[in-house]
Amino acid sequence: MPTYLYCLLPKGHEAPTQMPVGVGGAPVRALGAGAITAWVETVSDRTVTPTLDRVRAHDAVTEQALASNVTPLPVRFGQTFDSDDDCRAALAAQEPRLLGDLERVRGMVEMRVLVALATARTPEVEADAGSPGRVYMQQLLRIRGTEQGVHAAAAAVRERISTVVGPFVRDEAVVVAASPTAMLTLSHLIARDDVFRYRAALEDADAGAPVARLIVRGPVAPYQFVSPPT
Amino acid sequence: MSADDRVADTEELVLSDLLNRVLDRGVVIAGEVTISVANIDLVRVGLNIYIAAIETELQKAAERDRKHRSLFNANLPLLPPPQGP
Repeated sequence: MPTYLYCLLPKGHEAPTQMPVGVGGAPVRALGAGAITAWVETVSDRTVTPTLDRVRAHDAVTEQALASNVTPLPVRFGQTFDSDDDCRAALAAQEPRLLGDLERVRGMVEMRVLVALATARTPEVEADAGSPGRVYMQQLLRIRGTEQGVHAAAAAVRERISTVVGPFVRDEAVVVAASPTAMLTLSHLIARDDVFRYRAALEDADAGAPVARLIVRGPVAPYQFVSPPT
Repeated sequence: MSADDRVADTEELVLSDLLNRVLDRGVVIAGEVTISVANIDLVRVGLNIYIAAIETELQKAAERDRKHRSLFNANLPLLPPPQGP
């Protein structure tokens, strides 16, 4: 039966007496793999179709691991192996990298700041503004102008937020999206002990224009702060 | 913007963030992550497109939700079946 992988913890970490139910509806279990303990579930098929419920179930398992006071390495959704032995072999092949990541996030959690940006949109190009080539170029310029506006707004907001929470941040990842919604997502790696102070600092801060909405999420497992795939 | 709209917008942002985080971040052990939707395997190389498609679907779902005030079914696959030629 295939094995579905959720997250990784240092060996010796005791699994809670009541493990959560996973994406396939079966209880999650701890699987020893060298110096690592993996949280896995036996599933009926190697391909797990993502649904909102399954994505939430996957995240809930890593949340439970995080709640046990040991920071897990969260695994990306949808990774299955033919058997427990295959899973162990795959983990053994990457053990040095994984142990390095576990050490890096030890005692840390990820906080996420979601910022919807209210940026001024450049005017639409009139359909009869000229030849098709001219209209096309104007549309490209309009899109470029919008993107530049979003990036400039995101940089200003990021600077303000960094000033406020900078003392707590051990690492940061930034994602700016111009479409479909102008969004800035800041991921901060912070010490578990700093979560309350981090939140309080953001609540007291004035993000100011051009912030349309600011949402603070977390603590979550450090999805954003793992090594990229090799 | 009404209070209901603000709540809907917030839920949409949070849901979009959850999908981006769980489907496109985290440790990759198995080389390529194979996610199948409607019997089509979407591998790592296509994941950005996949995420964009999910965001589009979320926007549509949010629009439907605003109009009909009914939550979309959490058990449905995140993408609709492909349309025929």
